[in-house]
Amino acid sequence: MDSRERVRRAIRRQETDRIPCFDHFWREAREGLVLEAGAHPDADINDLFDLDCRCLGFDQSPRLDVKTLREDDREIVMQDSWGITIRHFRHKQTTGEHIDFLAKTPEIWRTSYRPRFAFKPERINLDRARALYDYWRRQGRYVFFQGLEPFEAAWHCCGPEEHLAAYAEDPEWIADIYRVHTDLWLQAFAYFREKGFRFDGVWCWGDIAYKNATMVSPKAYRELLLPCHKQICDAAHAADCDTLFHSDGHLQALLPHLIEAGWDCLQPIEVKAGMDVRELKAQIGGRMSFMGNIDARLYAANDLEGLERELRAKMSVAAKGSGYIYHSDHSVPPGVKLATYRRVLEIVRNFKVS
Amino acid sequence: MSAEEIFEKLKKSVIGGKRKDVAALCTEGKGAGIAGKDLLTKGLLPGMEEVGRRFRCEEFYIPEVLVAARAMHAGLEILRDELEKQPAAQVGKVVIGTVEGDLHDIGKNLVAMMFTGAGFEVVDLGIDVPANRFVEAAKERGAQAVAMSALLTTTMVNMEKVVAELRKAQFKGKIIIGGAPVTKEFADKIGADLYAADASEGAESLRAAMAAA
Repeated sequence: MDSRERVRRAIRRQETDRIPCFDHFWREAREGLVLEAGAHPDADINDLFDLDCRCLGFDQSPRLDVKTLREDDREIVMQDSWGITIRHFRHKQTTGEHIDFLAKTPEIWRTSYRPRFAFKPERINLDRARALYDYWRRQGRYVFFQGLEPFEAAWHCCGPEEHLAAYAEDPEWIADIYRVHTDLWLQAFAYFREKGFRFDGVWCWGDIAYKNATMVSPKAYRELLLPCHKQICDAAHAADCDTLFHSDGHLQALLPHLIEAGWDCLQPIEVKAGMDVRELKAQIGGRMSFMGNIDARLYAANDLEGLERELRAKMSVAAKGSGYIYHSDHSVPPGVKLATYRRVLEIVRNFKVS
Repeated sequence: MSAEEIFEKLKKSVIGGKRKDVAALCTEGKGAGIAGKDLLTKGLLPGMEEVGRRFRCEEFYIPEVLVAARAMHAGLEILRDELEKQPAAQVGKVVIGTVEGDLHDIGKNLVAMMFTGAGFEVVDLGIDVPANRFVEAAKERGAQAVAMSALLTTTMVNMEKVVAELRKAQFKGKIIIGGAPVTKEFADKIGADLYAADASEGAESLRAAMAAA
């Protein structure tokens, strides 16, 4: 069974030869693992660990010029292609401080920002995408078309505070931003298909929850976001793609609505937000598949016994009858040792699925 | 409108996140000779208290809390001059920040809003705050509490350093911590006084702890 078939069957809750593996890595973790493995610094870590999935996306930003505003030995303040003024540490990867946003009012959004989200082929580096896609196809990988879903894209435009406040104060504005980003996503997906790309799945990420609850009420989700998610999922399913939704945080209240929207698989199922794949399996395992939920803190501590316990306890329930793909509960953190990570994959790959 | 009616309307307007109404009611109350302290404690604060209650029972979500906090701030702006002359109107002063190495501010900002809504004067140090800045600010501003936030497992360890520095500097107030990876066990382990699972709980538990002190 190649990666493509393995992942597809796992998402569709059909029998597989073993649990598929995929992961994301914080930059420092990736660099550390690649260095320790003695591989070339530019080596693809997915190849290094023979992970099953690959992701291909496009530029969803308004494509503004990226500018460095100031920098020193410790940090860089820049304006990115979304026009977000953002502060990063120079030597470690973390979510930066979002200092300012461009489209903070409906007026700015409508007049100068919205028109920049028209779809143009320049949003896709077709030659590079084709080379990667062909390579991954030859490898037999499962290939996702990935991108921000509208909730995530919206706060990149107007900032998280204005975005959420507008749910209460100006929902029409938010609905308009969501429509624009959904259209952009659909057009890019259609363009890739027109050019011969046949994705296996779509991977949309949008953090619509935090540690304790969802950011917005189920009612608000249904009114503003679900119709957009449904359009994306319908387009994906029409193209025989599975659909994966990524959100950190405690998503419990939205689960039935996410299923209704058409999401087939949930990722990363964050442990520290109280999410447990074993409970999800019991609640909705007949309607959704799962990727993740292995506590990233255990990797950072190189806690081999803890990791083994965590993996076996969760896989024995989540992978029963298929429907589970291994992934950490967010990203593999800095400090993880090569032996730790290899041991994780060894446990997963040798795990006997019942 | 009687004072009682103004207080009731203020409370409702805060709950409904009606910024303009809150500002207008505060202006009207002031004009009618109602003390700023009363407008705060009998109108604005009960409104935010109710918002916190609804947030805890998932009747309200972040958007409703945000607009309520903004409405409350609109009222506070009108009352600012008068309240500054009456520091007793405030429950206490809290220094807040995201610990060193961590650039996240959304959760911390929400907590700061809820502290303000609970009647605290908030000194916001921002993000990526080193331990010595927490200590200096607590001392210089005469704070009764220090609140720390962290979003990352890699940065929450810096909270321990801040607690140690505060204790070393003989800070007598309460230390409260929170953030995605933070747990009650972690708070106990590093010697923080309080742990809050969310913004509303943070404001409530700090207020209760200060009242009991």
